[in-house]
Amino acid sequence: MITVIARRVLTLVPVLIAISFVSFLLLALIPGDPAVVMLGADAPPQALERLRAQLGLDRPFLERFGWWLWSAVRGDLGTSLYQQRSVAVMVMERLPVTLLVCVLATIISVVVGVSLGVIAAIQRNRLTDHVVRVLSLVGLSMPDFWFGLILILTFSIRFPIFPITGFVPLDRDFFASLQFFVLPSLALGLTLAGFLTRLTRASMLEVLSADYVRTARSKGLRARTVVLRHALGTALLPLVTVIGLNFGRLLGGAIVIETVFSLPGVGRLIVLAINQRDFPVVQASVLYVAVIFTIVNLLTDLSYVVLDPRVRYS
Amino acid sequence: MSDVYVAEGGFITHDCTSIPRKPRHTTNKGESMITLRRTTARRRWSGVLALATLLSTVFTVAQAQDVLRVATRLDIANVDLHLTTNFDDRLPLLAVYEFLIGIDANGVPAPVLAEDWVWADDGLALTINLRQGVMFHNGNEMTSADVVYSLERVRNEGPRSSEFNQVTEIVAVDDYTVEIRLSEPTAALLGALANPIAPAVMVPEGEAERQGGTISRPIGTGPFQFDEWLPDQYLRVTKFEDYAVDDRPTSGFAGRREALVDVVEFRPVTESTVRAAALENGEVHIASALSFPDFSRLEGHADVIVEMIPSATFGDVRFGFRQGAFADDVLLRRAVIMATNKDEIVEALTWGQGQVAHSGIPFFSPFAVGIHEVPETYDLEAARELVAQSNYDGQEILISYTPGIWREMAVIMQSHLADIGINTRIDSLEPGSSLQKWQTGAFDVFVTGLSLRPDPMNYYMPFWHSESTTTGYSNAEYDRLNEEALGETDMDRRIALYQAIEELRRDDAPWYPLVHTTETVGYSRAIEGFEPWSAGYLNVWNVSVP
Amino acid sequence: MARYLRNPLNVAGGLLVLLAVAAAVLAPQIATHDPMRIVISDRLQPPSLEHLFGTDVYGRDVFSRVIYGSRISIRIAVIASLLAFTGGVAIGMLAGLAGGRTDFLLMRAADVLLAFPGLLLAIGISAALGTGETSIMLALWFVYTPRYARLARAASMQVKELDFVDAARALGSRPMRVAWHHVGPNVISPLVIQASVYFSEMILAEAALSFLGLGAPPPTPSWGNILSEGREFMRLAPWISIFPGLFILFSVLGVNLLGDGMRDTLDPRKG
Repeated sequence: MITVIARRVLTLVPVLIAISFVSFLLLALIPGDPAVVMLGADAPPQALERLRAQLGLDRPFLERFGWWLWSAVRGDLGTSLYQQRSVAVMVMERLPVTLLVCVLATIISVVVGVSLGVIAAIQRNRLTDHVVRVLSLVGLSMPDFWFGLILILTFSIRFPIFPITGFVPLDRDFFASLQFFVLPSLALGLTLAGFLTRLTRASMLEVLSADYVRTARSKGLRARTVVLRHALGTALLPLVTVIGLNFGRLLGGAIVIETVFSLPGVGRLIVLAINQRDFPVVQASVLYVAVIFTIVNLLTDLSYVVLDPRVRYS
Repeated sequence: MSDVYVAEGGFITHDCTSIPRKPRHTTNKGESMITLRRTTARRRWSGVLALATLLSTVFTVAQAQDVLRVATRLDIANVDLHLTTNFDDRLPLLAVYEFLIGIDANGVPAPVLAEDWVWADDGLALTINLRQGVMFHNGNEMTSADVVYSLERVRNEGPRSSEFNQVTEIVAVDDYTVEIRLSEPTAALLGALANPIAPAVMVPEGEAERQGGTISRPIGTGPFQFDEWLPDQYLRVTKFEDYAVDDRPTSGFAGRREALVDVVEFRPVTESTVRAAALENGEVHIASALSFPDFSRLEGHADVIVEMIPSATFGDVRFGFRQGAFADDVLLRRAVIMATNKDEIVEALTWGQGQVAHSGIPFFSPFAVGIHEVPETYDLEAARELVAQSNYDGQEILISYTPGIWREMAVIMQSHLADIGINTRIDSLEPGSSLQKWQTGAFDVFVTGLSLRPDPMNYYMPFWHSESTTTGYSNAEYDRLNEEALGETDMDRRIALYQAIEELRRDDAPWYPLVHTTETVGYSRAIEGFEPWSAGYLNVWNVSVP
Repeated sequence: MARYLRNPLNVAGGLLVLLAVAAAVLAPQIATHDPMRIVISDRLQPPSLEHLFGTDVYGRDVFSRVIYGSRISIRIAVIASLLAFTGGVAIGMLAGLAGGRTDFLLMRAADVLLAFPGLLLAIGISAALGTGETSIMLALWFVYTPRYARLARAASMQVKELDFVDAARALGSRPMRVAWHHVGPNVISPLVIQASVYFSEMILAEAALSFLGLGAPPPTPSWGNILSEGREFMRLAPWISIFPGLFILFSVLGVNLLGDGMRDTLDPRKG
């Protein structure tokens, strides 16, 4: 097991280099560069040329990537073109925000999704089941930004419970900061809960029809005991994998949700940095997100091995 | 029961039977936002609120300060104002930096850090006397050396350096006198000094070099000093205690600009709906750039005033001369202008609150007389005729635009062009790519806007003089007239020249103005001294939060 | 089939999908107005007999726009799904069955794509090709291919271990034949069900991209951009965003019910 993990961690290195290269290439290919954005629409070409030279944008692509990679290997991801600050610090400031939203959303989706899924499975084909199934699909089919705006209209205007601007950084005042996470996590978590409800229901149904559950039942165990003690545990195993995969989806959804709620997370940082063509910031954020994503992915893969003995790790 | 809100069909109305009381949703002495938003009608939420209040009073450090909070559309990107032409950068930072000569409320150059100025008889030198006792935020007094340094930086490194082409020398005569010497007379020097785009604001001598080439921590002479910028969260400026108050009457960036609050916080909030919501529930005192639905919803609100005034900014359409069907086809260009129903655009995009733009300069400019007041012809029949005479053979034309309200102008423009049988496709781009297209002239036609500038030359010249690289337009007569107007110092003769220039613009049609948009600002009834300005800047000075 | 039709929810799902497809195909016949025609004097009209779903800020008929919008939204999701499904299944099965170095390289390539922020990809592609249908489809293709590939790989690895495959191999079937006849069907059927989930995600992704200004360019209607343009009017003219929202809801509902039904009917473990 340890060698497996070590090997996977080693293979991360080329994957991350490839990701960096792709994003570097993409940034080089898309029209517009930092000079154009920094100086604005009224800037004359001489000023643009001057700034380009100053920023080193006139160097060839491979030379720029080489330099970037060389500094990155030595632990220096560069400084933002707009604020003279280390991009690693900028990303690290924002990463907790995004991660917290994703973790809270995951918790919400698991709590809501699993309980509704279990209820639906027990009540199979009865009214409750149909209502839960349709509700879960409503959750699934609601665009995040749309649901987020509705939450704002409801819980910040109609019933002003949660503030919407003036974010308090997590490390300054954790509890004051937490208020800003409630609605975004709900927006992400509830749409995701629909997905988990469906999976839990399907998985529960499968387990409930399995032989050993029937045996337990025929032995005269109470229905609740059967569900809680025998079926639920087994049914939840595949969910672990799904939750891992979903985390990646959440990282993507966070971009939109952070925009709606003006949350200063990595997602928004990427959008801003792309709009501003702040190349070092884009590079660093992509790298960090990729690292997190790949780690979650690795855990997911390992859980195959652990949870399903039929799969051998190759 | 005065703060009762009754929700009806999604609208919030104020209960008129109640006795007006001082709105209670603005903060002063550091009370938490949540306590302030509690109202009698919301008692059912009081449990939740009490808990939240408890949490936030326990964990919020009380600060005995007056804070003015402002919701802006976009975060700043660059604090070195000498180098950036982005509106969103200068919007908050012009409270920190000050001009030598800045625009007044009508866009006319007026003294700010200058006491006054004198032109030499031959028009080849401008002597500027400085106000004495003006302090920089670093504690040093501003003298002529700082002024020379700042102006030289703008002239040599700024994006508008070409506006200072006639300047040969900037000399410190004594500590409080600066002389700008010219190679030939120009009427646009005052405008170049007062132009808010990449503005010639005053910074201490050698400041950029001290900060490593570009300025990352602004030091100016303004009523507020830079405190903290947390990107995407807020830009905070604090009252500058040693500010040298100018006793002349307030107008635009000129005159008395006093800090009446301790702190101003600019919060970027992307969505208009969210900005309006933050204003409504008292999180911010001023919300800029509101959309019409938010404006109409908040109209008549008990705690909030919303105003929609015609903007100094107007939209305009620029034909591409490097590519596309318009480049060599004046008939087609004229046809497009003739097919543009500007009244409809005013109605559609500004809800009747904007104003048709007839000419290349704003309607309130002192130069906007004669031809500038004559509407351009709207005549579909004649326009179709012109298309028939032109070289247009049905090919698809790409309409590019700057993201924002100009996208909506592009949509309407497309429908107008369809009326005369011109096929178009809207080229929807994200901001960086759009800017790149503009900068390289890679467009058939570009829809964008012009914000307030101090001199007519700032409108007619930068993009259509043949030295410009954007539109690619080149017309010897247009160049000659503009250069002559630039060198002319007699006001009457300048006015006459700009008549000729506008006539030529209409005749050869390289670009045309559409409509003045609106400035839609909402602010809390609890603040005093705030006045929306057609230029779109927010006066956070002279505003108090009682 | 009879078994499938027994559940009323399955039938409802099929009907909803059928309706959405019919709206897309028959848009010119169903629409009551030209979806692009701007009539400023008619703007923001609430639903009426003349304008079933009301009008938008330019006075365009929301009903006609939503009907025409189904064309683009469904086309994007269908084409992107097909591309990603075929590509993903081929790559995933190859990786899962070949194993070894091929598996390793393919899955690392998938990791690169998976870990790459989809939005950056979308912006990059849009910037290169201009925003529009093609760019959205390409972006979705890139984003979803590795997901299908991972699922197909996992499924084929499981199937590979099953006795009947071993038996077929032992009996001397050629590898391609084993893949095609034995592994393929068992890999594809669970993926078809997953496809319904990804399909609805793609419809939502189009809406999210519109929200970020990267959707179908104006004035072409798509469910996503009608919804996104209507968001400012959520309180003043809610019908602009409610109706495209409902169409998204019902089509996603339909596709998912269809998928559910197929799972119940096709699941080999229950057959």
